[in-house]
Amino acid sequence: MRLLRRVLLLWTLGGAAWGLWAQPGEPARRPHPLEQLRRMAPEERERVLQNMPPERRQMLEERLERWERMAPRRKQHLDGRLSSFQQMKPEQQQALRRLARRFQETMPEGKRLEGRRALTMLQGLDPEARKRVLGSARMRERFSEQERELLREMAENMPD
Amino acid sequence: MKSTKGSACPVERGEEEILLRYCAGTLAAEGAAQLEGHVTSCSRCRMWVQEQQMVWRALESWELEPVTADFDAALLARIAREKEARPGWRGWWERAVGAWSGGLEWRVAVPAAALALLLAAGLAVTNPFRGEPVETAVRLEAREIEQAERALEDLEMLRQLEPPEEDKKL
Repeated sequence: MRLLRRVLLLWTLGGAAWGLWAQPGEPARRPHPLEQLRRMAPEERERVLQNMPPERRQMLEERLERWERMAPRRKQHLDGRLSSFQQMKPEQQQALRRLARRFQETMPEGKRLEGRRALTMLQGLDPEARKRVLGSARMRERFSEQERELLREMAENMPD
Repeated sequence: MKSTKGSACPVERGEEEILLRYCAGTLAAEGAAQLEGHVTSCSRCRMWVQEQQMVWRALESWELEPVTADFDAALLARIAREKEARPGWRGWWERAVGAWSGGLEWRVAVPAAALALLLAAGLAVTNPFRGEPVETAVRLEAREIEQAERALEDLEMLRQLEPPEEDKKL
């Protein structure tokens, strides 16, 4: 009986020490589902997407192919932007989605390219400089007041 | 870490078996002579050999007590007496325990079994060998596919808000 008691004591102490030593760390993080899809072989991807409604599947595949066709540096750049965007708060993400939709819907097609260039330039400025540029004669000439306001809001909400 | 490659010291090389053979006198003469030279200069090997020689000497000096002429007969008679005095259930129990523990004394077998059970329970609770989640590339749940779709949509949105590739010289 004494032997059994000793064994129990040893086991308890040993178990506690072992438990402290073998503290489970952070579980391995699975890559983002998009990353998993990108890494899949075509036949694996086919198997995973086979039950999707055809229209949604076509859209997804087209976007994946567009990304795959991009130059490696462009891919890297856009992935970095996406990663920054995903780290934003959900409400900020939602706000930017709404602004982007407004940009596509309200900015005339002929002005969109110029709008994209203006947006990139405005993003790199501090709020004061941004205000000055947006109020400049050149910008007023090119964009309406609503368009300039939209560009300001977007520049403020864009991820780094 | 200290390199042991090329070292002449059997202890450093983890080849104590040579020293053991040397102490037992089973090493070939040439090898023994070489080793002897090393042992005189290596304190670790010298200590190892001295300790081993002490064990050999102790074994050599150990003498068995002579047994009496009627030892076997007395032992068999005692076993027979104890068998007769033992209750019937105890014989059955000992046979059962003997079969179960493979001839081990129950005083050893029972704690050993208890220890095995406790270890099994302990490992079930704090299993250090628990593997990392296995990444299964082919399994993607519907929810995860939606996440991928949303990410692609966002990527497309970000792409459309940037000047074309040629502008950025990317």
